[in-house]
Amino acid sequence: MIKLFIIIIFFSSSILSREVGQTEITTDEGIEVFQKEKYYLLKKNVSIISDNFELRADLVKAYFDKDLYDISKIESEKDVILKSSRGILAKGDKINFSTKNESITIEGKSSSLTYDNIFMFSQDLVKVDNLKGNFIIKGNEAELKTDSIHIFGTLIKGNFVTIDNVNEVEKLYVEDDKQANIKTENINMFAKKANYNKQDNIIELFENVKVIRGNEIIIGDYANIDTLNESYKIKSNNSDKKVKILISQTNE
Amino acid sequence: MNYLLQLNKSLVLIFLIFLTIISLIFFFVKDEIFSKSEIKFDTISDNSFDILNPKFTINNANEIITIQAEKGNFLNKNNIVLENDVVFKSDKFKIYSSKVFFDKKNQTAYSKKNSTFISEGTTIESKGFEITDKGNTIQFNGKTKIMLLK
Repeated sequence: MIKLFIIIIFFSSSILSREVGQTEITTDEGIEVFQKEKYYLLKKNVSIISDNFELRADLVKAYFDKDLYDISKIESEKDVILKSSRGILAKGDKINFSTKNESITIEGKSSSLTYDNIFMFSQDLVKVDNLKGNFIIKGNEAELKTDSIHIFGTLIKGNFVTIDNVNEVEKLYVEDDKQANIKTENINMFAKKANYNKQDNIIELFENVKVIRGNEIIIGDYANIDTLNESYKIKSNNSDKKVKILISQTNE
Repeated sequence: MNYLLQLNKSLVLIFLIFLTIISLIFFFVKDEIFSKSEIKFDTISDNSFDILNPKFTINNANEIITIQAEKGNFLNKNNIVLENDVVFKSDKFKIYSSKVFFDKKNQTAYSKKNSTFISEGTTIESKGFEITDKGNTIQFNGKTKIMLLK
């Protein structure tokens, strides 16, 4: 009896506060452990705090490998907020993430992910593979914003690299059923599809292309824009259809 | 004819004496008998139990869970209330509680008392628990705190 009492007291006192290396989980309506299926359900007002991340949600399904402590994947629902020690802030109706390969999938309305200087938003899906740097933003109002570029479309995918603790988009593909929009500091670009490659510093625009720079508005079917010197080439696929340049005057 | 005259008078006398003695004994000791019954009843409700150190098992394909307690009381043929230092123990985990209802037939158990689950790298503190599906599913109820140590 005394032995048992000591054991319970020891463990009770040891869980009062989280120490480095520990993960603390609290719920309002308990936890259901499925040993055979190797997952547990955490219910109502769930909070998970570990060295690597903090998660708040109303329903969490945590998959484990060896035992309960060895969480491999987390699926969370209802007003989910995920913060990682690497500077990621994710919000959405549903967030799934793998603790092993650091991939995050956010689904539902107002899905967003902020990773230092990168901001991703969609009304449907935001997916980031943090180890490889790949990302997909899909659905209504898909948006990607960095220090130097702001993109809107229905599908934005690409990858980013971290250089000197700053995240930079390395490759990018954007499309939109109507018109995708890419904004840099000086150029505003529209097209159905667009490609960007940081290595070549080139943005390519395809179909229904419109480029606005200062007072110039250039319309065509294809554009090749050098982001370093902001020079561009625009052409039309059809010989009957010519590239149109509009120059408006400012009232100065 | 008087049938009374046909009875053996000595036997009738012996029977009457025996009956009188029994009545007298009952009259003098009845208070003592009833008071003892009351004491016994109280003892049942507070301190007595059906089994001392009961031990049961829950078996599933992956593990055997042994259940031990300081005492147990049968509610019916299959349902037992286990009290004081109740421990569920398998190769993978232990659960401690002060009072658990165990269903022998269905191999289920539940508690509404504070419970502590301990397994490798994991401690769970809850306001009760429920074991179903032969121990494959364990539900911890109420406000729950889990500490993962690895």
